[in-house]
Parts: sequence; structure tokens; C-alpha cells
Amino acid sequence: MYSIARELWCPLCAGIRLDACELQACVQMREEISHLLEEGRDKEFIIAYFEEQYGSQVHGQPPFAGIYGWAWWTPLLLITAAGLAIVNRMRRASVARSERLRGSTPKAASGQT
Amino acid sequence: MVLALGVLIILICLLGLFAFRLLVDTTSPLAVGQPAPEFQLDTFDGEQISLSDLRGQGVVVNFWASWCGPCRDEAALFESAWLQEQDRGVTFIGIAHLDQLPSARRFLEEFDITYINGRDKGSIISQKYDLFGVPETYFIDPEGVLAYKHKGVLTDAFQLQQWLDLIRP
Repeated sequence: MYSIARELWCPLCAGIRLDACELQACVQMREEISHLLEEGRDKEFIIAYFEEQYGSQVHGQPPFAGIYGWAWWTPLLLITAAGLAIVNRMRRASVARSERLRGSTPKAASGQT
Repeated sequence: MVLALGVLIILICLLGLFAFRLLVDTTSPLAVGQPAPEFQLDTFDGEQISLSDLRGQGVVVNFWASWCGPCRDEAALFESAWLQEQDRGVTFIGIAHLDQLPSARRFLEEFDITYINGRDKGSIISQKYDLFGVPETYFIDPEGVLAYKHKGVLTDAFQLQQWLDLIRP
């Protein structure tokens, strides 16, 4: 029960996990987890059930939909943009190096300084 | 260079979106004199009720929870007020906040609550009403306008009558 409660958050307190909160509301929620486990429900079901019953704040993860979805997409966008920028820079550096090599080879071959 | 500019524009747009959201949240609290937010409630009797269904009546919306001590202190007063007001065009609605079905039902039985009650599934209604905690009570007039909101326990029958006077048709 506590391993599931550890993945959920107290909906009344800021930053306190359900397994650690001593509010009566959270005591009752932990009892509810125990009942659901006795009924044979698994962790995924219980977390989804809690989110449906009490709102997405109990899961501690923003929903994918709406403006909160940007909390998920922004890091992905930034990582992709950074990756593209690095690849672009490496490609340019590589082109510049080959151009330098192309430009210096005939001079070296002809013994010019 | 073009890529960096693109990322910068995206970041500025995102910041703008978040700022807009924050601005909307802070400039539109539920205020007296404003229309009360519409909601649908699944009652413990298996029916669904909407606030708009009650247009033409005064409505008292009380948020409570079985785990909330002060809610116990005011429960009897609300039930007696409901019994007095039901023939005067005022409806009482109880909304159980962050509560479990068996505990909420036990609470209603313990205090012999007979007015409409249901659970705020997904905390949708409490978000619409910008709920700070329980108990909280909203007095809505027959036109659907919020006439008064009371945060905290309400055990003074005289005060309750004053606010009921605001919403009787």
C-alpha cells in the first residue's frame, strides 16, 4: 500500500506525498488504497482511479492535454532544438575544415609558403 | 542562426502563454456579484443535477468532507435551515470534497442530512469555485449570481438567516 501511496501526492498539502501525510483526508485515502488492493486492483488502476476521483494533482504529473501539456513538450522541444543546433554546428565545422584542407593541399604540394 | 532565432521565438511564445495563464488565474477569482460557475453534480442518490436547473430558486452550496472537523460542527445547522427553507424557494446542495463514498455516506447518515448531496469527482467543481478549504459555503440568488461566500465554519444561525435573506426569491 505504501509503495503506491508514495507515488501519489496529498491534494491538500504542498509537496507532501500521500504516504507521509498525517491529515485525516490522507489517512482515509490510504485506507481506500488498501481496500482497492484487497479487491485485487493493481497499481496502474489505483493511480488512474485516484486521478479520476480527486483530480490530476494527486498524481503529481501535469496532464498531457491543454496548456499543462507544454510542461511535457517544452523540454522535448528544447532537447530537439539543441540536438539540431549541435549537428548543424558540427556539419558547418566539418565543411569549413574540408574547405581549409582543400585550399592548403595544392600550396603544400607545390612547396609554396 | 535561424535555428537559434526559432528556439528563441518558441521560448518567448511559451513564456507568453504561461504569463497569460497566470494573469487569467489572478484576475478572475470568483467574486460576489458575478455569475456563479455552472456545475453538474452526480448525487449520492444516482441522479445528476446542474446549477442551471435551479434557476429561479436561491441555492446554498456547501463544500464539506467527512474528514473535516468543522464540517461536523455546522452540519446540523444546515439540515435544520434546509428543512425550514425548502418551501421558501431555497435549495441546499452539499458537495463532498476529496472524500470517499463510504465515509461520505456515513457522515450524511450520522447527521440525518436530507438535502441534495454528491461528490466532487475529479475536484472539478472545487476548482471552478476556487475552493481554499472546507467548509466553504456559497449563497447564489435566483438569477444565478453569487450573493455571498463564506469561508470556514458557519454555526451562527442568525448569520445564516441574514445570508439566506439575500437569496430568497
